Amino acid sequence: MSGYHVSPAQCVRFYSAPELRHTHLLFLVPLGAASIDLSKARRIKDVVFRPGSQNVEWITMALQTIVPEHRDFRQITIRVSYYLTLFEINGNGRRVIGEAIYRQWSVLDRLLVQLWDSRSIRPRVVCTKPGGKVQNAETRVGCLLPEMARRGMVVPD
Amino acid sequence: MQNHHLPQEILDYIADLLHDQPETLKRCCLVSRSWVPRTRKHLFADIRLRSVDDLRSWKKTFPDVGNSPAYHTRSLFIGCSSVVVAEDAEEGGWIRAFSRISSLDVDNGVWYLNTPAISLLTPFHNFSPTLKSLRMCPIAFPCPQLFDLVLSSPLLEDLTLTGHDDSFGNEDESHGLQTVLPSTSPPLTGSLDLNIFGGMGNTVRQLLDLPNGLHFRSLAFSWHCEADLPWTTQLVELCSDTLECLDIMCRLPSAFVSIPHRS
Repeated sequence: MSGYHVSPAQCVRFYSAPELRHTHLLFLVPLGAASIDLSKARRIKDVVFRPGSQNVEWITMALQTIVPEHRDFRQITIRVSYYLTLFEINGNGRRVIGEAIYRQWSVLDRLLVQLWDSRSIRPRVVCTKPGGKVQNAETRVGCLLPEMARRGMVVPD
Repeated sequence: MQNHHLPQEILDYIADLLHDQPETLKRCCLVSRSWVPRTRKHLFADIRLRSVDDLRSWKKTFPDVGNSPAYHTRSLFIGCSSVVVAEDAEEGGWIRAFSRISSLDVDNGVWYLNTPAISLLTPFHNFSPTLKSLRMCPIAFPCPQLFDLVLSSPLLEDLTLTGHDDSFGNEDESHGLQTVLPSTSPPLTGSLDLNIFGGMGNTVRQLLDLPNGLHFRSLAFSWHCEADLPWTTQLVELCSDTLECLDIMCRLPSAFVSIPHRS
């Protein structure tokens, strides 16, 4: 079972599955369809995004504003907090984290790889593991960004 | 030891080479009086007053403000700003002895936001014309006095502000706090780092009013509310001719709760 309850103030995503033995509730404030426009910042070299929730659509939207005139762009870093990886995939990430979020990460995965292949802008996803409490955070993030993981661009902090 | 065979420039050069070896520099100070000025320049370049004890120790060692080595200090960290303010008021501006610093880092250590920003900032107004980097944490916004300090620092390039804005969404509260702007403002060509709980809108508004515009090469923001996003967009656009690095942390309120099933 999984679903959303949307209120003006916040969005609550919940999911529950017998094999997980837990019901997970994620409370977050949606960013909506807004993001930042990088198209005019033609001298930009490095960007770092630190998502505070599993919602990464705003990152994709920002990266989609990269234009050919960004000749100095060198690196995109996404730093993923440990608590965003507090889920068990068990081969079924799409259901566990929800279709909408899963799709956002898939789109981001494709875009990052595309920017690397076509523009040589190096993408890097760094998984933080404070205190070593979370094992295999990069493996879990790798399930969301399979092509990035396959190319060895999902790395521990 | 007689050193009159060595010209002062050579002695200075030796001290310069030892700039990152404080223990060796301390020994150099004992060699000869002529070695003292140059070694002091390096020994006191970076002063960190982390606690009340550090502050009292400094003042006890150098009671004469006019002759203290604060003149050599380039980087000053103050971790006990409320005490510094109190002692500065008591003793007629001893903090002004650090008149040549280029980097000022004021950190209260705890989120003690009840202290009015105006009193915390008073000793620093107009105190170092060579200031290039300013970090204040934490501070209560909106804070026009902070911008007085910014405007009184003609060489300021880097600005890092962390704090809390209680007036978020309250337009009336932010009105009437604007400082009187001069015709020029600092170059602000380095980095801007804003981490303001409650939203950065009021602070950004004040930055946007600076007469010379914004030319930061590096921008770092922590988003604490949805309204921070359009402000970021605006700042990115304004700095588009110079911007090289952008760092965004999305800290919109969120929580993750895991409830175990009953067996």
